[in-house]
Amino acid sequence: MNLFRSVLIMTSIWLTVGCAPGDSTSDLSNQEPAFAPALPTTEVAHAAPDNPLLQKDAFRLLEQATFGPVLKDIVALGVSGPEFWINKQMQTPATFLSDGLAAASSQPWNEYINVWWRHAITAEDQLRQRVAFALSQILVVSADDGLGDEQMGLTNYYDILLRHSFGNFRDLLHDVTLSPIMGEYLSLKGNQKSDPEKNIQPDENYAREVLQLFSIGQVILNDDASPVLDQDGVPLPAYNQTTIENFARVFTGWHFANAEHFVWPENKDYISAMQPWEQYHDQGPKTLLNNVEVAAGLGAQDELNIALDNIFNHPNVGPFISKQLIQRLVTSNPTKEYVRDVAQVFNKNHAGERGSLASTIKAILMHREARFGHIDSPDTFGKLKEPLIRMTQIWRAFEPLSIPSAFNYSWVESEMGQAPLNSPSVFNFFRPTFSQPGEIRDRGLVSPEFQIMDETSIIKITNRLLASTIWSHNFKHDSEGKRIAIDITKEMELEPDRKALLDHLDLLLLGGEMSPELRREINQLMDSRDYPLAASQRVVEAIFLIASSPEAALQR
Amino acid sequence: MNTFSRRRFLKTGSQTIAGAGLALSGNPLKALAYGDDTTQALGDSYRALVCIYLEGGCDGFSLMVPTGSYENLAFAESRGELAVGYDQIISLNGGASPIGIHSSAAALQPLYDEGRLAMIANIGTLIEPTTVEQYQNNAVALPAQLFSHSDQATQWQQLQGRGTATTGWGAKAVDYLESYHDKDYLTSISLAGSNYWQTGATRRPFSMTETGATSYQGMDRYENWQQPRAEAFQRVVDLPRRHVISKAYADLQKRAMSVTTELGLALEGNAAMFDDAPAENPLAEKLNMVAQIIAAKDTLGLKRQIFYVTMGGFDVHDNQSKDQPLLFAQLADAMSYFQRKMDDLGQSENVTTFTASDFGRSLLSNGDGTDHGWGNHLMAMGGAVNGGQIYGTLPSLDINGADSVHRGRVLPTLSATQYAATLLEWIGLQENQINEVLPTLRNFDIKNLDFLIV
Repeated sequence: MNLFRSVLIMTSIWLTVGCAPGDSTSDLSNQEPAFAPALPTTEVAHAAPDNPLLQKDAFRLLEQATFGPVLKDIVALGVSGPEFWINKQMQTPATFLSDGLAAASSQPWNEYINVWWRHAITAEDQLRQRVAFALSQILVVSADDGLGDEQMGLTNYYDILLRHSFGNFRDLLHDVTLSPIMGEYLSLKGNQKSDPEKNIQPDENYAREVLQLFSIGQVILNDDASPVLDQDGVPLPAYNQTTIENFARVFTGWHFANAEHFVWPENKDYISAMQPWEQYHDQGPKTLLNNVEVAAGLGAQDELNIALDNIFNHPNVGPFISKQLIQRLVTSNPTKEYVRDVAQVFNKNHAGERGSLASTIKAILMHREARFGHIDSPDTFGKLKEPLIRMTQIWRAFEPLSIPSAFNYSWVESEMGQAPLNSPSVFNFFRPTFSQPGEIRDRGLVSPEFQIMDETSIIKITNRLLASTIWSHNFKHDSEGKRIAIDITKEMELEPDRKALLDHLDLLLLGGEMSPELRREINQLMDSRDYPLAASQRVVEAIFLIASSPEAALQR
Repeated sequence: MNTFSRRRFLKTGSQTIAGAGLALSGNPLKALAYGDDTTQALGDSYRALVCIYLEGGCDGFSLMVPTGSYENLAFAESRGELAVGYDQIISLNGGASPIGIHSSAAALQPLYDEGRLAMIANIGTLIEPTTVEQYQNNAVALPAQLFSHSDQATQWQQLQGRGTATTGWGAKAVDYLESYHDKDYLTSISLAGSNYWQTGATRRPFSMTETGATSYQGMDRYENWQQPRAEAFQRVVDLPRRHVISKAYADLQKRAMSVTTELGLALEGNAAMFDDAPAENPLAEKLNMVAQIIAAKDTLGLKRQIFYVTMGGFDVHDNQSKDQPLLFAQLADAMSYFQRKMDDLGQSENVTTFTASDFGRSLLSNGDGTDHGWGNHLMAMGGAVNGGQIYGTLPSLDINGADSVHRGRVLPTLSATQYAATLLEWIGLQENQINEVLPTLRNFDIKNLDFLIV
């Protein structure tokens, strides 16, 4: 085992393809995805030992790192341990949304959402998919508010996130900034230098949000993401209105790659990186973060690079981004130590690189808190699962034989309040600071996902879980062509042995944590379905009762 | 009592009113006294606030536009291509008002002229009274993160001062409003999911959609086949558990189950009467549902309610001249529709609708849109509104004028806190309660803007 691992590590290092931070290319579509170098486990402080995982611990890792645990991965992690699995995931070729969209048999205006479902459920590069999804909730664009018709562009934006999920954050920031989709969403596209006669000043939208939401946040942070306080206990602002105005002037002069003129061009390219128009770019001197001065007379691209470097190198970025990634993947209330340890890897990994997302993600998953947080804090560790992940988890666990070509769940947001690339605003579906009133709030904890969990959505999620299990499985002979029929073949084989079946469902859906009380309820319900040929009914009743339970709603 | 309109009663029965312990003039915050016929009727009556939150920063200056040539010119010069010309303004009060309404919002004109719509001018988030000079010298406490959507929206909805707040002023008010009836739920209803206004330490609004209370599928315990499943589901939800998240989820599920049934039954009879919302107007659909709930208030046993609905799209950084008229039209048509339904229900005097938004928009443009501003014009609507008037002070809309601080943001002359206090007094909070809900109210001399007849 050890020899194998050392050989693998050596081979992986040999295969390393580096991508220097700061590389900027204007043609996004030709970039190859970087294969992440295999990194030693001990890169993060307080790492858990890299041993083969017990099934319940494998389940936990898979809930953190995929769109839902499947049996074969639970088994594989029992053989090899987390590091091998993570390395393999990082080296699996990326599944791009635009490829899926191109291959779709029909392409109504929001087919990209169905492509997203297919990939979330079936793609091999699960970790990359999960990370890109997390990034889409930090570096937010949305089809809401005008971009609903631009599915090619939106898809391409998501591919930018996928492409950089194991790359460098600085590169990600660059490509996001010059994405025409982002340009339209936050009005950077077509932003022009000031024209005092017409009372025109550069729009501040992107300048504000890139600082507030995409990089450093509003207040100065310690390396554990806690705010630095002044002597009155008030957090120190990370920037002020003047800073925003200066950045707004940096972000001027950019438009569609093929625009024939700057003001209201007819040609619209929502895919290629935006291009600069120097005559609309503010050429004055500027003062950026930490009083960094930028000389007058610089061109748009050069100035953009300086500005993005300025943002990227702000000490806040490590803790600000690390904490949110931890919250998206592992737990809503990480300890300060966890955040600090991960931020330190972001700040500088073993190769001396700042902003390596591969290193950061690996640190998040290999840290002892990801592995043992549930032991340290049994009643508070973890997070509420998002609605989309409640569904992908079921569809992955009961691996459908195929997803019908007519499958359509593009309207999921109207049911569950969430759909990829469709948040109501640039603040995502929920804010990192949301705290559910009651015990969670009383204990000073946050629970971001609860912000979209209310009396309406909880019923709709429950209904959708019922429809997707009890009404839609492969032993039902009248399922519609548009639904995913879960495959309960294996469960039907186990069904005659009730205990074996429930042990199996326990592992597959609850990581082996099923309480005796829940088991008793399942048994009782299954017993009530005791007529001939009811085996499949019993199976899906059990699946639904588990999947809709408060325990299944919790990732821990 | 119920056959009188409140306003007529107040105008004609001043002796009786004085005898009943109410003040018509003098301290507007004199608390209601309980115990005789008049106040008994008030105690039996229903009152509701409906907040229409306009997301993104509604450009009130383009909705309620100066008609005077000097003021209109100043606005036109500031806004350039985004100016609202005379051909786009509908005059109010037969032309007597210095403000006209954007022609897309024509539906609001009759309401204004008949006195049931009021304009509240140049209002924004303020911690304490602030002059331009004080702003520029940082000489007073200012709201944190002005011009940031999330912060200003949060502050508008919380109004708890400068620090990080954890509770909305709606949620705090509900603590007192619940004493009017026997229920500890459905006082606070949202048709826009969770929001800061109605969320407090232990409080969340009941959330529903414009199509009504969502019901569970396949879990009807009165249906033979579904019964074992429904009962198993309930028992699983009721199991004891320790983890804070699964507990909170179970609590929410329990609440959803019990309230949904009750609400569904209460709303059942109403459908026909509410089949008339204007087409393709999402705001009207939401207000339609609010109207349905109000129609069912007696069945539900509710005396005081606060409702929250939203309308998005107001953050017009670009395409302002194209998008904004459509927004104004939708808003005006929906508000007008809602007032009609309140008239139909005989609840016009009992329901006050008010608008709120992150901020107004900047006087300067960025070419085809405007940026985040500060001071804004808002509206209050209802039978209890002393309408057909402008409350507050109209600001100069000259970008180089006395009220503009910096890139065309207009310094507000009224604070959101005073606005909230006016609404809360009307719905029935007492003076000390209002002070508790709105801790910065003490910074302002005027505690009630007088646009509502209490």
